[in-house]
Formats: sequence, C-alpha cells, structure tokens
Amino acid sequence: MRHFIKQFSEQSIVPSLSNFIRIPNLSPQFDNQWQQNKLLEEACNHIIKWIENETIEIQKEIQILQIPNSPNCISIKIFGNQKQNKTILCYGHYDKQPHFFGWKYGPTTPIIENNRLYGRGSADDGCVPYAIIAAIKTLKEFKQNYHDCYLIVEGEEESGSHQLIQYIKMLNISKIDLMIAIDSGIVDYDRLWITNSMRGAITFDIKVFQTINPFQYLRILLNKLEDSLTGEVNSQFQTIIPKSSLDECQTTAQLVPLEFAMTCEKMESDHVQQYINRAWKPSVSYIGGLEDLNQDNDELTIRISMRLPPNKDAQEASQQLVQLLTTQWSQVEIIQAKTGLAVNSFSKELKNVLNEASIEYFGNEMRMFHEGASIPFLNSLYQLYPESEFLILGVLAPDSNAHGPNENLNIEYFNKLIGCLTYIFTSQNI
Amino acid sequence: MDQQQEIPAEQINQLVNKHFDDALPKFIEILKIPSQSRLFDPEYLTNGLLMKTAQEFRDYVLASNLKNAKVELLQDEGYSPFLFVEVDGSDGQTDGTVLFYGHMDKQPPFNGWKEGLGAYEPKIVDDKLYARGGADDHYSIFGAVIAVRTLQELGLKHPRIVMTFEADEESGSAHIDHYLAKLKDKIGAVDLVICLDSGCGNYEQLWITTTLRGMVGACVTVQVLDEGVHSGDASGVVPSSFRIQRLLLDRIDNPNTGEVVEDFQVNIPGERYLQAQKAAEVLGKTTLTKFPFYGSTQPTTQDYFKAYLNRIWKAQLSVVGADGLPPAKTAGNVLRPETTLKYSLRLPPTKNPKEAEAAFVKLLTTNVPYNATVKITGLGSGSGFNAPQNQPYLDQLIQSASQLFYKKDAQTLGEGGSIPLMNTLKEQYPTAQFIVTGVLGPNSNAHGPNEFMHIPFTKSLISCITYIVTGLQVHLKK
Repeated sequence: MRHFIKQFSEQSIVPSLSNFIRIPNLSPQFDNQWQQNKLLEEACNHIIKWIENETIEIQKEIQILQIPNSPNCISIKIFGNQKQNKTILCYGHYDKQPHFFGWKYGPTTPIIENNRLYGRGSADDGCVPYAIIAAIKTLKEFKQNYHDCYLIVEGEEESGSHQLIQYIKMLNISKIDLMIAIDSGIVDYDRLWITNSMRGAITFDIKVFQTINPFQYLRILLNKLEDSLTGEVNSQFQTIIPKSSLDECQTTAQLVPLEFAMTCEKMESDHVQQYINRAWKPSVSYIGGLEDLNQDNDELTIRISMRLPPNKDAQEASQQLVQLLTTQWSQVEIIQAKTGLAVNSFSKELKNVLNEASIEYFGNEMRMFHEGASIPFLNSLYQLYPESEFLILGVLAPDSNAHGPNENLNIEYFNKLIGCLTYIFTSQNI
Repeated sequence: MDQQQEIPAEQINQLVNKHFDDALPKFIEILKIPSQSRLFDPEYLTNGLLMKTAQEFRDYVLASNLKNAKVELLQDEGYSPFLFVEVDGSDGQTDGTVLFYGHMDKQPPFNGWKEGLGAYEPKIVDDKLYARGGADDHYSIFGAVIAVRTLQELGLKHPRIVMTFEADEESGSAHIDHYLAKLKDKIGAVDLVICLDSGCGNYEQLWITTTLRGMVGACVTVQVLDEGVHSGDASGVVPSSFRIQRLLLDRIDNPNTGEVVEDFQVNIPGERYLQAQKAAEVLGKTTLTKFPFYGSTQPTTQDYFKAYLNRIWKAQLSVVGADGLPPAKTAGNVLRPETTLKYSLRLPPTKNPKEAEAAFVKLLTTNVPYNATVKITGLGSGSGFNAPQNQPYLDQLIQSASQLFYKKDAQTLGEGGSIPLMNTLKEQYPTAQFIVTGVLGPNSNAHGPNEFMHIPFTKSLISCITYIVTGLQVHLKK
C-alpha cells in the first residue's frame, strides 16, 4: 500500500496540487475582489475536477454548497461499503493566506526541493482533499472496505469560517461517529501527531481615564489580573487539568523542544512542567496600545491577548474580566473571545487504531500534542456533534512556515499520513 | 551709604502698563510663529522658525531704545539661537550685576484647544492671553525689557543688567552652557539672578519659588527575544517583557501609594518645612490632584499640606513614553521581543543627581528577572534647586513690592517641576542671590492645550520686578 500511495502521490496528487498552488486564491478577508476575480471559484473547481477524475469507480455524491456572499463549500459523500458503516466527516479548506514576502521562488510557483513541495496553500490546507481521496482510493485498490465518509472543504477558514456550521447543517447528517480535521500543527515528522487540546483566547482593551497618572493606575489594575513576579494569572481564569491530559502532556513533553530565540530564561526550569503550563494555563501578553503615553493625557489604553485553558469558557472569562477590571476609572472592552478545545479522551479502541497506524507507517507511536495557540472554529465544529470522536491532525511542523514565506509540504510525511488515514477509514474499531 | 531713593510705585505701575499694552501687538505677532523647541522639531535649525522668533525679540529690544545697552543675537553652528543684552548701570558702574533669564523656545502645540482658540492663534479672553508659549516663556523678554526701560525713563537708579534668553529650555537647556561659557567675561560677576520661567500659586500676590525638583530619566528597554513569536506558542514559556517592566517599576515606586524608594529621598530642611506649611494654607484645596485613590472625600488641611509636600520635596516616578508596542487596532497576537518605557523620576531639591543616576542604574540592572536583557539609553539628570538665603534687604523689597502692587504679602512657593539651569547658575555664581518667579499659575496649562498668560497679574509682576531692581541698586553698589 505504501508503494501505491507513493506512486499515486507522485503521479497524480503532486501535479494537481502544484496547479492548485498556481492559483492565487486568497481568503476573502485578504481579497475584497474575490467575487469579481473568481479565483476562489477557480480553486474550488480545480479540486472538484481532480476528485471527479480520480473517483470514477468510487460511489459518491458531489455537491457544491452555496450561501450568498460566501465562497462555495465542497461537499463530497463517499458511500461506505462496510457491513456496518460508521460516519466519518473530514474537514479541510481551499482558501489561502496572503503571500507575505521573502519567498525563495514565489508564493504561486510550485517547486519541489528536498522532497518538499513549496508554495502558498501546499500544506495549509490544499493537500487535505487530496489526502482523503487518496486514502479511499488506496483502500479500493486493495479491496478493503471503508466507512461512509464526508469530505467538507470550505473556502473561508483563514477569514474565520463564518458559514461553516451553516454549510454542514445543510447536509442534515444525523450522526457522525468520527470527525477528522486536518489543519493543525505537528511537532516533528517522525510520527502521527494528534492535537488534543488548544488554549482559548480573549483579546481585550483596558482603558484608564480621568486620573492624573493613568499609567500608575494601570499598574494597580494589572496586579489584579496577573502576578508580576510569577506571571500567574488571576485564579478565576485557571482550571483543573484532566488527569488524562496531564498524563499525555507528561509523555509528550520530552519530544517537544519549546525552543525560541530567547535573550532570557524560560519561566519554568522543569521542561515537562513548562510544557504543561503552556498547554493548560492562562497567560497574558501585552500586544499593543499605550500610544497616549507620550502626552500629558489623563487617558490610556492597552490591548491585551490572554490565552485561556482549553476547558475555560471564553464568554464566562469575558464577564469575569469585565467585572475584575472595571472601576470608576477603568473600562474593559472585549474585542474577541474564543473558547479553546479540550477533546474528550478517545476510546481505547480508537487510540489503538491510531497507534497501530503510526507504528505501521512511521515506526513510532503516535503522540498527543497540546497546542498553546488557538484554532477557534474547531470548537464550533466540535460542539455541533458532541457525541462524535474528534481527531485533529496536521502536517504543519514549525518549518512548514504556514503563514509566512516558503510554506512547504513535507511529501514523505504527507504520504505516510495518507497511509494512517487508510487505517482509520477501514478500521472496525472507530 | 547712599540714601535709599523714594521709589514711585504708582508711576512704575502706570508706565509698565503702558509699555506692556504697547508691546501687545508685537507679542501677539511673535506668538503666531509656529516654532517648536529642538526635541519636538528635527528641523529646528533649518526651518527658520526659531531664528525668526529670536530675531523678532532682538528687534523688539532694539526698538525699546534702552540706554547704554548692547544687544547681541548669537547663533553658533549647530546650536539654537541665544539673545544677549547688556545694560550699563545707571551710574555707569560695571559691577553689581543683575542677570535676567528666560527662554524663547516653545512646547509643541498639543491638541484639544477650546473652540476659537489655537496654539498659534493668540486671543485675549477675560484678561487672559491664550496661545502656546505666552506664559512659558515669551513674556519674560518683554518683562525684563519693560522693567529696565521703565526705570530708565523714570530716571530711577538701576544696577548693571544682563539678559540671557536661551532657545533650548524645553529640550533640557543643552546649549546654554556653551553660550554662558562664551559670554562668561561679558557677563562678569553676578549678584542677583532673576529667573522669569517659574510659577505662581494664584494670581493674587507675588510668589517666589524657593525650591525646584530635580530629575533623572532614561529609556529602559527589556528584551526577551531576538524576534517576535506567536503568542500562543510562546506565552507561558517566554516571560513577557512588559511584565518584567512592571517588576522593574516596582523597584522604584509602590504603585498603590506612589511612594518612591529611599534611595531617591532626602531629609526635608527645617525652614523649608515651615515655609511649606504656610504655602499649603494659602494654596488650600488646589494642592489636591485628581489622584483616584487619594483617600478622604473631606480633605483636611493636613491633606493639603501632605499633598503639597509630596509634590515639592518627595521623589515621584512617571512613565512618559513607550516603544515596541504597535497601535492597539493593528496589534497581532505576538509575544513581542522587547518593551521600552521612558522613565522620568522627579527628585527632591537637594538630591544629588549623579547619585540618583547611579542608584537608578543599579536598581534596574542588578538581579534582572529571568536574566532578561536590560538596556538603558539616554540616561540624563538635572539638579534640583534650593534657593540660597536672601539678604534681609532683598526679602524686604520683595514684601514691599507685593504689598504695593498686589495689596497682599509675598509668598514662597515650592515647585514640583524642574529648571536644572537654576542650580547650574547657583554653582557658577555661588554668591548670587535668586529671585525665581513666573506667571504659570492655576490652569495656565503650560504644556497642554489652552495655555494662557494672566495679563493683569503679569503686569503687576513686572512692576514688582521693576521696583525690586531699582530698590536693590544702592545695596549692590560697591
């Protein structure tokens, strides 16, 4: 199967994905001409065309879902042929980040170097529909059965996935057993990585007014929010880490370097504890503002981004923030609040499947990853079918450069991921 | 000893008023020039605005026809202009010199001027002249010249007078040392410094500033990363540079009380303490600021006094600038590599500024949290000022002047702000007496919008100065 995947990848996927890279279809937020230039439509059709060509022998239903003023959403249902079909829903997106600058070859110039495919959208997230179809095709080729599989590929993830839930509701799927979202990060290319938790995020402004020394008053307010000595955030925003997550964190921490180009020491000297802190504790970053400081002003604004523990509700945290920091001389404005994601621990059966897949294709056990960052729409997706198992995969290692220049897809890892997907799609134990 | 001449207060008053009113059109013309001091205007040497201001002032002095006077407008390469006037004593004496000080440069215009007013649109409303730079400090040139002219026209005696008007005060008086050194011999020995750049507690009596605070300041940068990193990935691992700044600030003052650490404080001299009590009584409620957690809703005289003492004899920390943070609206989720804050620490009048500098650096660079990189740039300090004891005749003249032209006692004032030049002059002329005064009273808003100069008060102040200068002539004669 490995060989088949490799060949198929080389001969069919990479050429088509390369042509996908050539289309500069930025997400609507970055291209206000998207409806006129129809680039998103072009990219959407390009993928559908490829899928149609490659799935002639596969029983399926292709729909293009439409909502006015929103890029179309690709919906493909692959009819399973198991004795007892489970329902799997896979997610990807075909819109792209803006190009940025500093490319070696160019954002829309697909080049393969060191078995990496360079170009905007190669890894984030164009490769996903190809991976899903490839997995199904491989199973078909080797006469193995697979479950019912929906493939949803939307066109505005980078702009906030505003209509995603609407699109999915259009499909009227009564039950989903397993959701697979491939748009997350991984730590290395040596194994299957599953993102099990993500922190939430609140962006808010603190505004101080009508005081002689607003900066001094701000210091007093901030002391309520965050202990300046330890960085410990007000206990209202802390939660208890579930035992299973704690165990997983302890196992994974060894593999995650937590390296940054620092000119100081890390907050925590114990590496494992540091990893757990980043995954499960709130943190405050002071991201902007204080423009009024240069003048004899009695007003001041600072913008803060606070990460929340995965299991802390962002709306509740917002209310608590407002209450904590609103006084006669201060006000809080919530700019954005998104709850994180804490995936319920998998069934033992599913865990075994994943592990076996990882060992089969990578020679290593799978590992759970606990994102410090946030992918807001995943929580919405998760809430839609709370009974389903939720699997978050990815191909974006730190050197994938997802939002920057020289974004690239590690083809070898991609091929192995397809292999793992075949495992999952055929397994009786999901 | 010569007979103390009879000083005709009423005539002085009338003539000062006349000369001031006559000078108003010129005053207003100069206020319209949109010049700014060096720190606020990188083109200050090339756009000609500051020079034009100086030239207008020079022309005014010349047009005032002071007898036995020499007027020089200097502009050395790379320096702001400097106006220097020398007037021989009425008896032709060349010793016993009174030095007048003021400045010709202005703060930036700021915004928020009321409807109908503007930084460069001088307007008189209710006896107040609204414009940038009127009270701080353009009036000083007119004041000094009118005082001398009045004395000369009334045939009253006066000592030798020099006037030094710089154009870099709002930028820290970085050029005056150069000019004072250059003019050292021409200035000669100074017996009395009259500084016309300070404030007043109200517009009802003569105020003499006896103390000024000093200051030490610097830009302090805390760096934690070589480059910005995604805040989701790094926050909780990499300490926040802003949080570390909060820790450094806590080493200097307690944010809850504003109390600065002992390293920067002094013992308050006995007689200054008593003077402060009296001044606080006169100033009353105006000593209280809008400090939110000041405490009592029914402030007592003790509170006024404490607030006043805090403002003039204690150290105080302000953060007056920030760098490394993007504007809030375009801020991304980045853990920024560094945060810079501009620290400005006011020092008590008698605190040695170099000692304060050393303490400042030590506090911020020893045992830095997380061993983060701390860089201090632009470290500078200015000395406070504690006026030397005046001789009894001078104190008497001051009291008489206040009674004559304000019908009230003169009052001492401690200033919360700084004029580092005063201490420089005190060190250069160690035997000189000092009269430090000005028209920056309540709501005059020197560095903000709606700056105004109280016209009747200013006229009376000039009359007082005129009176005092002629009154002391006999005492200065050798």
